[in-house]
Amino acid sequence: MRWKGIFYERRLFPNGWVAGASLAALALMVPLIVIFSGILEPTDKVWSHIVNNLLGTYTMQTLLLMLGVAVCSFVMGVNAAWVVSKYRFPGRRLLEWALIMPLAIPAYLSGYAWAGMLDYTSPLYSFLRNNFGVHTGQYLFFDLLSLPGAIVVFSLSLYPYVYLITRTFFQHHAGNMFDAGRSLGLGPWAIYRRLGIPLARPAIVAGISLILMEVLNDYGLVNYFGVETYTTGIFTAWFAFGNVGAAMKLSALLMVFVLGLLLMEKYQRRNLWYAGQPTYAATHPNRRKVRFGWVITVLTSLPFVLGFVVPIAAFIHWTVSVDAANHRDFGRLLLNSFQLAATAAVLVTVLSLFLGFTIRTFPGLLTRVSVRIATLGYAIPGAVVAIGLLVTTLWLDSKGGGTVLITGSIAALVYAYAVRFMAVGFHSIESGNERISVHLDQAARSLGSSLWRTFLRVNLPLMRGPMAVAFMLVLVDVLKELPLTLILRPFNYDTLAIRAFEYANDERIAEASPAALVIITAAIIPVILLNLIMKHNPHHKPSKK
Amino acid sequence: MSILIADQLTRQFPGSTTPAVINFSLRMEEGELVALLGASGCGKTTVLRMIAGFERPNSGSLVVYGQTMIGPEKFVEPEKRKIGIVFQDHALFPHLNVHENIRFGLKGMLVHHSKRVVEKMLEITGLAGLGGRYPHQLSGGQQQRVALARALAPEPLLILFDEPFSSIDTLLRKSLRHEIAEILEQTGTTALLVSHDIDDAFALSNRVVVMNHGVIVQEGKPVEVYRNPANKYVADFFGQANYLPVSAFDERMTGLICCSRQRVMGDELVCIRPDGIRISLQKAENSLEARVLTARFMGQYTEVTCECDLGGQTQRITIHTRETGFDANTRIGYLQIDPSVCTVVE
Repeated sequence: MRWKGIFYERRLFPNGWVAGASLAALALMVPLIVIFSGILEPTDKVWSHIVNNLLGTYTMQTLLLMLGVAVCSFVMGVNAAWVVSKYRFPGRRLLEWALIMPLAIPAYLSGYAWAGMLDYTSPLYSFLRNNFGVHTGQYLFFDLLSLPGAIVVFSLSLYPYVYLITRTFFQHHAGNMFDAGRSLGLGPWAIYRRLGIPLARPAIVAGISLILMEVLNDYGLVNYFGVETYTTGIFTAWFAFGNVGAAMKLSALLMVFVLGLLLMEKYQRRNLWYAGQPTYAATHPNRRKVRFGWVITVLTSLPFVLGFVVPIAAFIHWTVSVDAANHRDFGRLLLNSFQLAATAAVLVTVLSLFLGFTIRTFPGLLTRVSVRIATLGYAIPGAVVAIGLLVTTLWLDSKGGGTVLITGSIAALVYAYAVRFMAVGFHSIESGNERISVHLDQAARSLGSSLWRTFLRVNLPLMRGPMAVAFMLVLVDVLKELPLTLILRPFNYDTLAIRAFEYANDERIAEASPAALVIITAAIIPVILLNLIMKHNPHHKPSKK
Repeated sequence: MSILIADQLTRQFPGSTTPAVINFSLRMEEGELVALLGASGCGKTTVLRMIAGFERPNSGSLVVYGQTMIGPEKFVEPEKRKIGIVFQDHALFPHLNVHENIRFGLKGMLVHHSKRVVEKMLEITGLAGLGGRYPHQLSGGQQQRVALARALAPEPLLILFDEPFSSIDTLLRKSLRHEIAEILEQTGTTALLVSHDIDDAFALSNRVVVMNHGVIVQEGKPVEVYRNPANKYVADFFGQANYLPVSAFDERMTGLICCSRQRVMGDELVCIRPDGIRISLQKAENSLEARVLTARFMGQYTEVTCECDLGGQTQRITIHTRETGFDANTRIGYLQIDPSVCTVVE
């Protein structure tokens, strides 16, 4: 007896799990599809105005900003990683950890803090003027609210991405190569130049790609510093011209940059080889002792002090000194923010658990593609997701009888967060799943458990830890999020991030401090967690978050 | 009634040019313990996974206890098959204690009833009193027995073992094999064991099936397969062997060795196990004069490599003997080859 193989092949959708995963992926892909369909929209006067007068500036400034941030964060991040990995100096252990902390301050908040401090009317400037007679015209040292200023502030808050990934490489994956270099007579500087940087190149490029994606995502900082990037262009098109078509076209153009970065990151990460088992050098680091170690201490702590200590100190100072009457509706802000963030985090976590179990059980092509699509959003700038969804909801509302029901609703906002942050939640669930033998599921099924029972009784209880991590990471990301929230929030619905943005734009930065501090406090937790993960599991590849 | 009838199961993985398993057929009777052996990559694990229901064959059928599990347009999900499985990594649920692990497959059973079953299983497997422990609080051997107890509790029609002892250290492995063999016999369980370790097969099975490159190359009682391997692969898989050209033997001996074969081509090899050769001091029929090259004491036997003249050529022969005290480069006496333990292999 022999039958043709066709009887045994699975149908396209063997079950509800894979079908569900595909549907989720389709749903999460909508904003992106809509954006690219925008290219087909007929051009109008606004668009030709943008093309003729603004597009050149947007492109130029975006490119310059990216280049500047890449160079600056390379200098800060890679040098710090090398020094911390290879030298012994006072405070090394503390700095190794502290250098990641700036990641807890979203770039736009860091920008507000620095702008507030270096303002002509700021206490710092007044102090210098009154006591030392420093008069430099309108600006203290240089005009911070400019492209170079934005580059510095971006680099100060984002360099930890490249620092973290190269530090891990230097400490755990380079094997005995540096020791080999030393035995061949290379001095410390030559080892760094001839071995350290070339070997870590894939890690460096991957780290910088992540940084640049964050830069493209930002709106708060570039808006305040007056840098005209694609993101500011999208906001201008929508809020100033009220023209969705132009916003869509700019979004599509912005996506070209993102795709470029994404490809570069993927390509370089593939080249990141790992030395496999931790070598002797990794477990017994032999750090070089240097003379004048405190000089290194001071230099290496600069990114930490400027990127973390100073902005936080400024916000604390302002929070304490601002009149309490200004904090009256702070309770409502907190409630709004945390409700919104928690709702989005629950949605993402539940979806991630579902996708995680599906790909674990049915790792077929369809599931893999679905998961890939569903987690694509992390690369798409918030403004782009927002415009894509805005167009969708406007269309749905127009089909639904002309009443504005979905546009500007909490549901649409939460949905957009899910699109944007699905990857963050899914990654922690996925790494949790990777640690559990698939034999557990098979054992449960051979004992008569259906897939549902296996999911509920075996997978879920084992996912408690990763679930908590996923929930928290998404919660914090939503709290920090600005551009997407600005575009999609319901009318007059304020969150902490929105309030900080609005105060800053009203030149009332001091009053933005309490909101900023809450966001930063929440954001510190995942940063500490990330550091622990990288320390204990050096084979973990840092992803976006 | 046959417990399991696998007929022509074939599995080709997408993207691979050759099937992992080709026309695998096997019949198992109630209470039988069968070992499926082969080097890694021979397809044995794929067979096990097809029987368990985690892998779909491209063709073929599977009937377990009269119920078709795999057939044309028929595929029974693993949870509906009543086939237990014990994994190499034990796959105990880390969030459940021993008691809850064993009770996991007893859903729909009254609590006091399932409790009794669990107690009975704990007793059979020698785990009485450990029900409240969590998997990480158990030794490797205890985990193994919990895995077995859990698989046995729902009274499966058939139980599968996937390399059950490879994660357990050598000392413990031996005693555990015997314990598990006893439990299986005591409970009258039908079991299929997949392993690359011949000691597992000898200790646990009453029939072995040897696979290579996705096909069955030989099956039979362990001793038959050991003494009379079908080919060089099987012979090597089951331990050391001497290979001598069939042409080296005289006609009478050849006749005795090859009695079961239709035709002798002349280029076949005769396979003789090192423990199938005796040393005697007197010259007799079929005996060869031999000289010791090396002698190595191995504990339970001494491995002696000797040289002898066979059919005009000098041949090396390795023998295992319980005697000790051989000196290199001395005459050993005569090697007596029993034709009944010789097999012709290709």
